Amino acid sequence: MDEALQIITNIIHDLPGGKEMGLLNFIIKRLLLMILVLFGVLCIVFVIANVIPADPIGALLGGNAPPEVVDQYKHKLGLDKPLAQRFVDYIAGVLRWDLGVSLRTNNPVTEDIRKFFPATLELAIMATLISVSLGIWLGTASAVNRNKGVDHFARIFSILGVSMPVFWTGLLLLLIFYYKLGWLPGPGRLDIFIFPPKTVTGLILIDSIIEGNWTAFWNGLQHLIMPAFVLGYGGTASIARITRASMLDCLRQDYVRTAKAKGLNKRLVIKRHALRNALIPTVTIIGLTFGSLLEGAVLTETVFSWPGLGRYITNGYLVLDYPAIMGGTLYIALIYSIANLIVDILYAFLDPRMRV
Amino acid sequence: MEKLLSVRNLRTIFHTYRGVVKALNGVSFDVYKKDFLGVVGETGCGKSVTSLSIMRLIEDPGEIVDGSVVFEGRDLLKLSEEEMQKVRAKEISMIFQEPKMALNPVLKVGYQIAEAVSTAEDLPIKSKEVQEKVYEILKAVGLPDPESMVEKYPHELSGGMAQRIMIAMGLVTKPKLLIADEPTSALDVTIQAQILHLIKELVSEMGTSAMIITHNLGVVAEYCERVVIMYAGNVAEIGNVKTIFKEPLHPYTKGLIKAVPVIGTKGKLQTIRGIVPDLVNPPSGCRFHPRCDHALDICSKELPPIKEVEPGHFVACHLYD
Repeated sequence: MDEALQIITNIIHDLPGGKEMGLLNFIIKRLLLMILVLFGVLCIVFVIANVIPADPIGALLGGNAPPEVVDQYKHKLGLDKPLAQRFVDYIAGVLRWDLGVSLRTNNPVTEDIRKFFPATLELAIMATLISVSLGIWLGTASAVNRNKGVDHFARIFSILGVSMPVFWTGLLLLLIFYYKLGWLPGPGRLDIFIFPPKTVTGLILIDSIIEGNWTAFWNGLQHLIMPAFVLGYGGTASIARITRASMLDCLRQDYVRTAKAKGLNKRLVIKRHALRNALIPTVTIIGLTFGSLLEGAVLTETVFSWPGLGRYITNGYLVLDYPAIMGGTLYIALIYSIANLIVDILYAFLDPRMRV
Repeated sequence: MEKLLSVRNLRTIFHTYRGVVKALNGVSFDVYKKDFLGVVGETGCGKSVTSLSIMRLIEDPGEIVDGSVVFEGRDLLKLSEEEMQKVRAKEISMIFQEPKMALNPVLKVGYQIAEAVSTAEDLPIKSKEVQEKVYEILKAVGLPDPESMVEKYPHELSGGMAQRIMIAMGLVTKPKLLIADEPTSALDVTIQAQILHLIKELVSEMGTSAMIITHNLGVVAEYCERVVIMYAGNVAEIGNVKTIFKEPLHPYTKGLIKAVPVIGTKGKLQTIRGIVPDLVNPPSGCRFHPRCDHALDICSKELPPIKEVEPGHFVACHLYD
C-alpha cells in the first residue's frame, strides 16, 4: 500500500508543476489510490462469489428444475462463459456503471442501489452525528474529570458499546422503548398512515423539509432515532475512548500550561487549546467508524426492518443473488473510500502542519 | 528596595508510586520591584517547581502543602481560582523552556498573543485595540513584518523566533513580574544572548521585575543583579551577583562556582562529589551534608535556617551560626 502511494507520489511529482499543487495534489493522489483499492475489492468480491460452492441457479429454480431450464438460465446469466471472460465482462460493466441484474428483484442492481441506498445513508449520517457529538463530549468530559464519576460512567458506557453486538442492543431497545414503554415507534422508516414526502434526495428528513411536511419529518425522526443510536453506539464508544486518551495527552502538553499561565479559564483552555489538538486522532477514528457503520447497517436494518442497502444485501445473500451482493459490496467500498478521503481532507483543516 | 513578591517557607510535594517527592522543602526568598533575579541550581533542585508554585500551576499529583506567596500584599495561595486567573492574566507572566512546545501548534501566533491581551484587558479578541497591541509588541521583540508574522503557525518559526513570540505573549500585558523558566536552554548559543538581552531591555523599559530560572551560571553572571542558589528543594544562598561570585559562603555555592570551566586553564575540572539526593528519601537535616566537605555533627540533624549574614546576603548553612 505504502509502496503504491510512493509510486503515485513520484508520478505526480514528475508532472509539470506537480510540486506546487499541495492539497489538490494530495486529493488526486488519494483518488488514484482509491481506484486501486476499489479494484482490489472488486477482485476479492468476484473471486468469493465464484468459489463459494453454492449454485445460484439451484437457489433460484429449486432442486427439481429440468436440466434444459437450468441451461437456459445459465446462458441468460452468462454463467456458461469461462471465468476469465466473465471477469472481464464484469469489469467492463462496472466501468459503464452496470452491475448486472438482480436475480431476486429482476431490476438492474444500480437501480436497486439508488432506491435502497438513501435509507442507509440517512441512517449512517444520523448515526455518525450521534456518535461524533456524543463520543467527543463523553471523551472530553471523561478526560477532564479523570477517575471521577463521569469518567467511570463514560468508560463503562464505552466498554458496553464496543462489546454489545448491534443486533442484541437493537432488540433490547426495541423491547424497552417500543414494546414496553411505547415511547418510540417500531420498525420501518415511517408509520403506515403517514404520507411519505415526494422523493427528491431519498432522505426522508430532507425531503420532508423540502416539502414542508412536518408530520412526516417528526415521524421520520422518531423512527430514525433508535436504529441510528444502535448503529452509532459502537462508534460512540470508540470515539469516546480515543478522544479521552488523546485529550489526556493534550492536557499534559506545554501549550496547555501556557494557556493556563495566560490566565484563561478552564473552559477556554480545554475548548480552544486542548480539544482542537485532541480531535486530530479522533478524526481518523471517525473515518474508520463510518466503515463499521455501513457494516453494522446490515444487522441494524434487519432488526429494525429498515429498507436500506444493508437489508438489500442480506436478502441477496439468502437467495444467492450474486449480482446484488457483488454490486452492493462494491458500492459500500466506494462510499467508505470517499468517507475516508473526506477525513483525510479534514485533517488538513484541523492541523496546519499537514498543509505543507 | 520595595518588595514585590515574598515567598516564605514554600513546600510543594508530588505524590508518586515510589512515595512522596518532597520537591520544595521550605523555600523562602524575595523579589523586589524592578529586580532582575536569577534562580540557579542543578536539574531537579526545584527551580521550575518554585516558579510553577508561584503561578499556582502545579498539577495533580503535585500539591502545595505549606507556605505563603505574598504578591503586593495578597497571599496568592489563598486566592480563589478566578482571582488567580486574573493575577496570571495581568500581573505575573511566564515564559517556558521549549518555545515551540509551549505554543499551540494549531493556532496562529498572532491569535495566541491576542488572546493574552484580550484576557488581561477583557476586550474582544478581534478588536482593533487588541490587534494594535499585538503589532506593537511584535515590533518591540524585534520580529520584522508583524502583519505577516501574526498569520504564521508555530511550526513555521525557528526556535529563536518562537521564543520571541513567547516573550511578546508574556510582556504584551505589561505584567509586574515576568518569570522565565530556562528561557534559553533549548536555543542555539548564538540566539541565547540575543534573547536574554531582549528580555532585559524590555523589562527594564516597562519597569517589570524578572525572575530568570537557569542552570547556567554564565547567564546569571552576565545578566542578573541578584541570585538565589537552590539545592534539592532548599534555598542555599541569596545575594548580590558580585558578592556571590566573589565571596560565596555556602559550600554548595563554592562548589558550583569552582565547577565552571574557565577557558585557557588546563587540568581536571572541579566537581562536587556525590550525586543529587533522591527527594523521596532526602538526607536528614541539611540536604547537602552528605556531599559537603565541611559537614558538622549538627548538619545531619537540623535543617539550617536562612540567615542574613550581611545586608542583602543570606545563607542557609550551620557553618555561619
